[in-house]
Amino acid sequence: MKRAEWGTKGRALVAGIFVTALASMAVFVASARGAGQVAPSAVITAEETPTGSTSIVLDPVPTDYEAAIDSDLAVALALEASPVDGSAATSVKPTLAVVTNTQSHDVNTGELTVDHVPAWVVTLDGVCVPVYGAGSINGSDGYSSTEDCAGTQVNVIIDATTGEFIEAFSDT
Amino acid sequence: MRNLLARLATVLGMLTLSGFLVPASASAAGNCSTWNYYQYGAYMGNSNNASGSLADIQVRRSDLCSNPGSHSSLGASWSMLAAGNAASYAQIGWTRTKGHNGGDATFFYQYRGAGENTHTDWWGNPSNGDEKRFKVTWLNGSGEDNDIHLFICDAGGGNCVDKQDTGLSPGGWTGGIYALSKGEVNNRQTDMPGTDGARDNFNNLLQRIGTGPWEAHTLYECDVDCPIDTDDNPPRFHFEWVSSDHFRIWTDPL
Repeated sequence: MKRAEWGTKGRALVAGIFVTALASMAVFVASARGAGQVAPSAVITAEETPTGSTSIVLDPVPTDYEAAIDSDLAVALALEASPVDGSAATSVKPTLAVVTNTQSHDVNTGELTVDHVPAWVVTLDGVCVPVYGAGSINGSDGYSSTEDCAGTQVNVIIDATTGEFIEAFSDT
Repeated sequence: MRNLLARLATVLGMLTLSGFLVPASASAAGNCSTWNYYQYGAYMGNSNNASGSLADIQVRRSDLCSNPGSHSSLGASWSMLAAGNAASYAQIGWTRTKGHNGGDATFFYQYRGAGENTHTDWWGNPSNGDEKRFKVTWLNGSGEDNDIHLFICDAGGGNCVDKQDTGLSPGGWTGGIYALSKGEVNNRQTDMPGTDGARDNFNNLLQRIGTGPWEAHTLYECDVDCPIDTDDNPPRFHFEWVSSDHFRIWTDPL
């Protein structure tokens, strides 16, 4: 085999091994983290604002869009990046969307930093969202220092191109 | 792609270290066993009816206990406005959670009105030692929208970003309004932010009352003698005043 030919085929072989390893690792990571059932991935079909959110807007991805990060890998990355213990999740659902945060203004330019970014919104159900500062006030009306979880659902947003954690939100 | 590889390697490494692949020893903070919210910081009482609370707060890594069970082991530092009956509050700061990117910090805010959903957002990746101004303020002046807004700024107050309009108007809150700035953990075996050699500074503590300006008002240490019971903070949690608008907290390791 010629050197140039081997170079091309070799790179293809290495790339193939790499992708296979990535996929295997993603599945392994998802299962190792102990998360509950992973639902089939979904896509947003019309603009929507997640329930309770005041700043996140989800739009459909273009019909010909192909995410560099597949749903298995997105789930694995979301479980790693989750700001609550993702291993407690009873179900996990990845949804592909174009994400905008209408309050993510850059201080210098005023432009949005999360503006129409193709991303996976990975919804973790069954988790415990902490009540930050719960012990600050031993209040009446059923709110007290012993309050347990503020909610049981967290959405972790993973950039569908780079795999980077963008943000997470909970409105429950 | 190289970046992604590095992240995946980190994931695999974390899993290994956390015992998914091989048994792991307990973290320096020990195993989680006494869940509750433990806090240390300072407050301005509700009789003043605060309309703003801010502090320049450092991000400090500290050991988080292992085996959190249903509660994610966390450390956090924040500034907050809260109703006297605890039904409504708004806060912004930073937090670390066992597991999140290997224990990296994120910024966060959380707020809710009485009987409403709790809104929480986590973002960013601040480094250990970073210092930011976290500001909670009721924009109740002339021409303002009468809502509580959550700001994150550079330490000292430059480059402020209005991170969230909460839609909350505390004029009707029950029980007065507290201004609070605190460190927090949710397990007795986790370390409060800061260590003896790298204490977590809460500096330039300022408050607003009514439609008045930002000023340094009288604050009180909020520990076991706090009028709003914070449970019995373990004696290894420490607090000290540096000046009337500056305190710091830290933890002796187990």
